[in-house]
Amino acid sequence: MKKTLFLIPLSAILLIGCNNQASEYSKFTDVEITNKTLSKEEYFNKTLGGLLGQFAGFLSGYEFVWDGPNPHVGMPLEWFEFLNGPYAGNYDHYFPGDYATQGIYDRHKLNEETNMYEVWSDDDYHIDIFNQTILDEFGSSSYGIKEAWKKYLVSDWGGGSDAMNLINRYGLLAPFTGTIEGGNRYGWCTEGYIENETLGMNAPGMPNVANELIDKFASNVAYGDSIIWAKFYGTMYSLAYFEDDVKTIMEEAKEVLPLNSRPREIYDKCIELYNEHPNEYELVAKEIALWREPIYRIDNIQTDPSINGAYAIMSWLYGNNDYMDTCMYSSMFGYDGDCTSAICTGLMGVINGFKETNEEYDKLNSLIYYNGEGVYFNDRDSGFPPSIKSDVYFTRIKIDDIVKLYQKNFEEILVANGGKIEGDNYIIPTTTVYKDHSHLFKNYNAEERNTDGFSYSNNDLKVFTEGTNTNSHTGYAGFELTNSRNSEAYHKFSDLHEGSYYRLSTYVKTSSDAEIELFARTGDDVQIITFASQEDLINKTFIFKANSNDVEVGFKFTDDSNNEDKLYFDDFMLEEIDYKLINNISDQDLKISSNTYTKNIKKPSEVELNEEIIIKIQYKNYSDTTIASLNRNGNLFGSFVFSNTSLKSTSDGYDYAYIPYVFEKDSDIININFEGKRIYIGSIDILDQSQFMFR
Amino acid sequence: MKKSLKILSMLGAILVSLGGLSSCKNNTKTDEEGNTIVTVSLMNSTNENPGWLAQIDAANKVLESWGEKIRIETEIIMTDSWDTFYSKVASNMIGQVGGTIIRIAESHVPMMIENNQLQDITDVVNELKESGEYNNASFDGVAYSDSKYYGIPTGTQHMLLFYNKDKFDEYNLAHPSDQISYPSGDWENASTFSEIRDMASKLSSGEGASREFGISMGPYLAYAGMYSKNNGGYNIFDDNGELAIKTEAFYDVYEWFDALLKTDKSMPTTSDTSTSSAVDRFLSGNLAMIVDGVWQLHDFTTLTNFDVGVAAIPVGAEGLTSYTTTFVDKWVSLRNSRTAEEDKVVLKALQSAEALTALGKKSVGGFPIRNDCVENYVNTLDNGKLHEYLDTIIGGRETGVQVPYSTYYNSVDQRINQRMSSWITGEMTAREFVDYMDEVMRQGINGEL
Repeated sequence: MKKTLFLIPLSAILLIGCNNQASEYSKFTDVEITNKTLSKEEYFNKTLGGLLGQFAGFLSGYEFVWDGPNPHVGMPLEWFEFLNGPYAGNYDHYFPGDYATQGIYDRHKLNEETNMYEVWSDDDYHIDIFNQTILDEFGSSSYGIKEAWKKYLVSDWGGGSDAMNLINRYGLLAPFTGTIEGGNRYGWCTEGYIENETLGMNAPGMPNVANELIDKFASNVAYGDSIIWAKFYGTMYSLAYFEDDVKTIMEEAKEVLPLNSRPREIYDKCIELYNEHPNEYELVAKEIALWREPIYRIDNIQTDPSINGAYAIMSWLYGNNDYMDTCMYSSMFGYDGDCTSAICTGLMGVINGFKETNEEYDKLNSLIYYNGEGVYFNDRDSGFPPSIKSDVYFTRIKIDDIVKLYQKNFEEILVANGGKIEGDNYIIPTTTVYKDHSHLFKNYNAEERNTDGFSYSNNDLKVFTEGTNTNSHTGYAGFELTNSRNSEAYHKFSDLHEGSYYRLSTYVKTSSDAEIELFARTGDDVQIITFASQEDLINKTFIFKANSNDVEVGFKFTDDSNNEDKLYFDDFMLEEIDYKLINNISDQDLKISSNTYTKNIKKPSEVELNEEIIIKIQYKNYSDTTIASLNRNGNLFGSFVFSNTSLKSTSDGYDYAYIPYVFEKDSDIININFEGKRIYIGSIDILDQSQFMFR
Repeated sequence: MKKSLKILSMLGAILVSLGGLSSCKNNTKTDEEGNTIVTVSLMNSTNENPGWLAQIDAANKVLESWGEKIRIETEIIMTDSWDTFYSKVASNMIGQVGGTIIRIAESHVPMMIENNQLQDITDVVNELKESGEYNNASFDGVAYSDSKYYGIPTGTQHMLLFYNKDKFDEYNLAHPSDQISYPSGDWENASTFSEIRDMASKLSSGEGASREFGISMGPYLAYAGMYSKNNGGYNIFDDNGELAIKTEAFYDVYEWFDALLKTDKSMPTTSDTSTSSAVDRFLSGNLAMIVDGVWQLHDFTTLTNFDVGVAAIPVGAEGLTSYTTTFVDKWVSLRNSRTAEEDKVVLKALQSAEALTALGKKSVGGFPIRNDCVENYVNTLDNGKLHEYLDTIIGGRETGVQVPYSTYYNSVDQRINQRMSSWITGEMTAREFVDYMDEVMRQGINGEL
């Protein structure tokens, strides 16, 4: 199969091509572009440092250590030994249980034939490394990712494991594979960021390109804050090629953390905590542990992405640009310490490069790298989950060859994004980081424990609290709207850009027979989507165009709902997005189809055959959430989700499916299958792809 | 948790601050009649919760009869693990949600006191003690610290050896020349380790997934002191307070376990119990004997289709007294309770005769601490299946030994459990495992964990 080109959203090309001039549709013109030179040798050396740092952090860090029923945080620093933590088989201070008894927890094993230690696969890096094969062989489209996972058979924990199952079972495409509604039970977990942050090494100095990649790859396995953290870390990795001070890197990268979001609050609190306690490691470890919040479906508090994010930030602050200190603090702060240390030490590796004068050089070289002969082992047989199972994937690969693959992919991405390769140097159009475009008002997550921020009538809106997230998504509170005839609750945004597009992401759950509009309203102008009978919590997204600076965005029970019907919602998050209509394929009104829908769609001239775009399909579905398969010219392309929009066929409701698509021919026949169901299909558009912060 | 947390200088202060937060979120609930709602959080114990809920219902009626404008609501936290339950409670404290009174295992109380998570209820306990209606000694123990009380016993419970009489009878029928007796119910003349090993071996049969086992006894720290004492040794610490794990009495006990697990394979391993718990195996007839607590009396007599016998805990040799580990779980009020004063009234109502009688009627909670309720509890045990074992059940109260719970106990217990698979799979010998238990306990004592 011919691979899909790397993400080159038209917006990005235009930004670069127009030399920082705004395109007619892109609102994200707030980046500065500066051409910088990076030698090939330096790129290789820094990327090697980054990858070795990932290995080093993993082999040094302590993961999920408990102190009785409490997470053990602020572990004794004297336990730290570089490259000799529990994952290197050192159980002097902590015995991790059955995998250690079976001899497979130790991921740093001596190969007696070569007399060299090899680093064995773990989720801290096995997908990071696999991503390079995907980019090289399949590109970065959702379709390519799905095909790659299907071909090579990923074995993983949590969100990655469920994504693989959904791909195998349905051929489901990202981002549906990472969502609650798509069937991923662990999308809240850490896989989003621990497995994709090194995509920043594919786009040095180009953090926004890195984030386009991360948006695609991370949303295959995750949603929510896990993806925000992935973008933060990926941005740092990207920036680290041209900036040596980790605190400066963090300050620049924090722009990707939406204002008022939990990750941003965590970041700001870490800075405050560090400024007050720059030398009290145990105290800050314990303080951070108190910041924890419940998350829907979380089953191990030590996997909370935001608390782990806090420990990562604090490790860089306490590490104070010292490689070994950063590795030590990130290994010992607690929670998911091996992953945190892989992220933190990997970043220090990019900053430092892998140079003989470095303090860490000798140990890394003598225990992992072996002057270029060092090997990474894909452990597909021992029973330790993270690996790539297929025999056509490598079993052993030289670490240098992995780095060469990063470099090869970087070179393609560089050229595709306006950079150049000149002799032994890269000329990189480096950019600053996109500014935050979110609109998170103070009580967007109900944690003020009141209804501030929302307008409603008849006391229909209440706030509820709960210790386990059943009707809420995060934290301890959510909103409950009770119907007393077309009841509604909305937030009035007064600072939107007229003419711009916005995307609301929120979490909803309803009583069994409720049907609800999600609306964006300016006077008589109302844009809507609907959802119905959603008895399990899901993420709901809604894209609309602001026809004024003042827009009321909210929920309204439809005429088909009954009094006392309930809507629970939480995390009401809005962001401004890039949105470009490339072509309208069909203007038809909603028409019912049984089992299948077929359409011939012509490729717009400005779209390349191997370029990913979005097919936007209007639909009405009154037969429960449906995973529909999309065939392209007779072959399965991938699957996606039709939500339940309506209570009955006569309801007025509808929603839009946004399906990542790649044209095979100048004119493709698409065939959408929903066996046993009757679904209304309406208008069809082709959009340029765009990344979102609130996945 | 959007309210900004102040930067604090020490953990104690951090935990004290949780109390301070309560004033920030004044979300005290009232019902339609203006009663203040006090929420009680319970673990999801399917066999015990009918009892606790009956006690709470009765306590509500008592509150009403006292003219108190307070009512109790119950929250069930969906876990049957005390660690997970505690973790959820700690999270709820941070978020100022959930119950303000909880029932918590004795093992977790010292840690909660040290973490400043419990309300001082000395005035409530003193009032109960002064009434003369309670077994005052029961208030002592882990909930008494620095001359203050932080909890009230929910009852006292101890361990017993339960056995499937039908399995013994079937064996004897099939082996007329090799009869085995039922285990002894006499605490002064209990069956010996070797006798129990012989019974367990004979009552085991089959291979692989269909294997039937003779006995299950958790070789955990909480019971180790009991078996050691039954073998003539000490309950973890000797009479001088010195650690006494690395002693022959302990080695013998774990070599006995070793023989049952590895040589005879008459005891299910942790791998076996991961597919079906020991309790489920006993209930289904897969297991002939099990050492478990009085809290199982209800299920073992109502959910089985065979006759159940009750015996004393085995001893190392004839002539040794049989001791049994005693557990005294607690009702506690959380430090940052939104209803601190109302909680105290509720705690008293939960200890009323009416409430304890309602609990006892469900055969839950063990032996009540209120003297006039003990007989009621014993009467509930006097059903057809248990009648002949009442003396054994009651007799265990006289030979109880307490687990030496401490602030570091849970960490020690956790470390030992994490290493248990190394012993069970043969990576460590029984003696090496006992040495490891000793080493970890010493680390706990020295604050090195």
